[in-house]
Amino acid sequence: MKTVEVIKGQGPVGRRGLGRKIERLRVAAYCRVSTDSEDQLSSYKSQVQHYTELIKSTNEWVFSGIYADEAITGTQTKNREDFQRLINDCMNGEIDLVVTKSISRFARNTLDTLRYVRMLKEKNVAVFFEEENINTLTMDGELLLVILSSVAQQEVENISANVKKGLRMKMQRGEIVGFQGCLGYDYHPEDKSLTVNEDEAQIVRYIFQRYNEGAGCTIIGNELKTLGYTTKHGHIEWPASTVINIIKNEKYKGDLLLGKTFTVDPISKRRLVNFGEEDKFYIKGHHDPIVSEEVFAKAQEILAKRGYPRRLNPDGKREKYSRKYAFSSLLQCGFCDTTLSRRSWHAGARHKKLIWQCTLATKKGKKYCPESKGIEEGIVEEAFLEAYKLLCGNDKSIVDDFLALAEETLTEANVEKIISRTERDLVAAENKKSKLIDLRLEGTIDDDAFSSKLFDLDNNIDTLKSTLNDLSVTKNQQDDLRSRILGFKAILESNQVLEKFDRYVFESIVEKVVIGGYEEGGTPDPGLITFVFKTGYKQKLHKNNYGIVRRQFDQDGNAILPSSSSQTESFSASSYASANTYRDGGIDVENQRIKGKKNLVL
Amino acid sequence: MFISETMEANTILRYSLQLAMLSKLLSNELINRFEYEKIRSKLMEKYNVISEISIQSIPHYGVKSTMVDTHSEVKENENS
Repeated sequence: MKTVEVIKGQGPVGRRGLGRKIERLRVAAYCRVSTDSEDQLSSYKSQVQHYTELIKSTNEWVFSGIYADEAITGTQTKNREDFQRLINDCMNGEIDLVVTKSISRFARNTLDTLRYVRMLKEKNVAVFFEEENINTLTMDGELLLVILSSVAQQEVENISANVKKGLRMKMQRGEIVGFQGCLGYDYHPEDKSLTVNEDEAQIVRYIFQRYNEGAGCTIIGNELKTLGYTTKHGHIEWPASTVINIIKNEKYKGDLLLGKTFTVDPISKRRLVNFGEEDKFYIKGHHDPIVSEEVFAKAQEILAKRGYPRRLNPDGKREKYSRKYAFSSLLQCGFCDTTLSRRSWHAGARHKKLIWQCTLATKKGKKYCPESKGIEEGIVEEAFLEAYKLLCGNDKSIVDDFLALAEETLTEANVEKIISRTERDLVAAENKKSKLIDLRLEGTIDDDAFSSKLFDLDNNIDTLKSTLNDLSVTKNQQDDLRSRILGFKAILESNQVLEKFDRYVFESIVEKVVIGGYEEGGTPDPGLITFVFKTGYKQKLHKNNYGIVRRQFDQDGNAILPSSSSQTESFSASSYASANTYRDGGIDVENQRIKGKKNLVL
Repeated sequence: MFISETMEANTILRYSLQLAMLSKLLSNELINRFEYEKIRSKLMEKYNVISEISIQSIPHYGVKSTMVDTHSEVKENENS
């Protein structure tokens, strides 16, 4: 048997890896408190003071600084700036020992504790936990550290569970939890109540009105930007998501839903939308509504229609719902039931035509819907006028009823009051202007401020003068109201009720229009136009009866398009209202604001 | 169920007709835009209409279908 000679170990022979002997350890302390309450702040100050004195008074130690995070939780390290700085300094070899009060101050997360301790250990940096009396460089194995850091983590999990229970009880009592206010409402934290902010509420009402009229969220967002409104947080941009969240928010009808989101666990703090994983609490009539329940329900109906998931459709296709043009989503192919889309034939040429054509045939191929044919927009409009004429009887009572309402409304508009108010505003604005000029002459304000203020005032004065002008015209007309009403009656009783295509009228009465179909013998006829009215009636017409008139051209040789194609007018109730807003509902978005505009009815 | 959803066929027609009359007054320049908007909102209020597209259809039972073929009438006239 061979002999084995044992070479005895002599214990530590110097610090490995550094190649130098350290006489005095460079020591830093780490302190943390998780909330900014009075008690915790005094604890934080005590920690800082204690460790500064401790390190400075120990001869073997050199003070390397105090790293402290105030009012920051220990469950995650990413927000703890000083902790990150401490680790960086340690990794750079600037610190030999980190002293901290306890494991829970270092980290409330077992994984983080072990990760950082191991990382520092590799660089020969010790961490000393005072309460537990553990030095990570001299400890025997990690068992104790793992157990104690798990206890620290458990503690925070228990706290979280208690907080959650408390919040749940608050929700059950109907108290608002985790709400910071939303557009249209002011939140009062002292009594946790919501009050309507009338200025913002106007914007909310506008959003709901436009959405119910068929405008999409992007369009509404663009309009609000043009009108110069800012979001609750003061941003000028109105992304579609902001608008859609307003549409979805039940607070606007006076109700309150609590528990919309939940936290998965206190360590990752991941928040998810509550799809039923946890309880929700719904309180009806919690505060004053901004929009009525009916308006809100209609908006939800449109939202559901537009957002209907593709996977739920039997053919796997997405049902697109658009109200860009008067006929969008309302024209249906009589052969394949697909909607028709608007196309421009000979675009840019003299013979430009606006056509509505089967989407299946245009997108997939003519062979998928061989019988369908494009139909001119003007023909559908003309056919509607005809169908409408046939639908409406000759009921005189409707005219009388309408005239009574018109007279009542026109009398209500108290122009005199508005005129005197506008005159007062005008005088005030002119006084302001003369004061501003005095200030400039005295040299109290500088050139830039003077010019900008003068520009604003001049604009205001111009607007007031033009409003005054309009109002005096209206006043003169009002004086002659009786004779005006008689004039209305004469016009309404003569000729047909609708002479020109009107989008509002079309939308009010037509459910859909089927283009093309089969004759009684089963022969396909792409020229059939079937109007399905909301009143439950159908009206079949044929396209050959319309659009026989030769195309008209203007002086420059451009084709004159149907009335519904007007893109230049800011207001038109025809099928294409305006280039900017698609259907501006009579609102000149470019020039008007909702608030303070007397001639805008919302 | 809202009132606008349960609007009778007659009510829908009355609303639509009055809207058409209003449109006619505007196109004949007998009223201005301000007055148009004011009367329209009054009409909507009266008939409890939130927006035109939101007026619900009456279920299509007992549908009266009319085929108006003026084209064939024109042809007949030409032949005679």
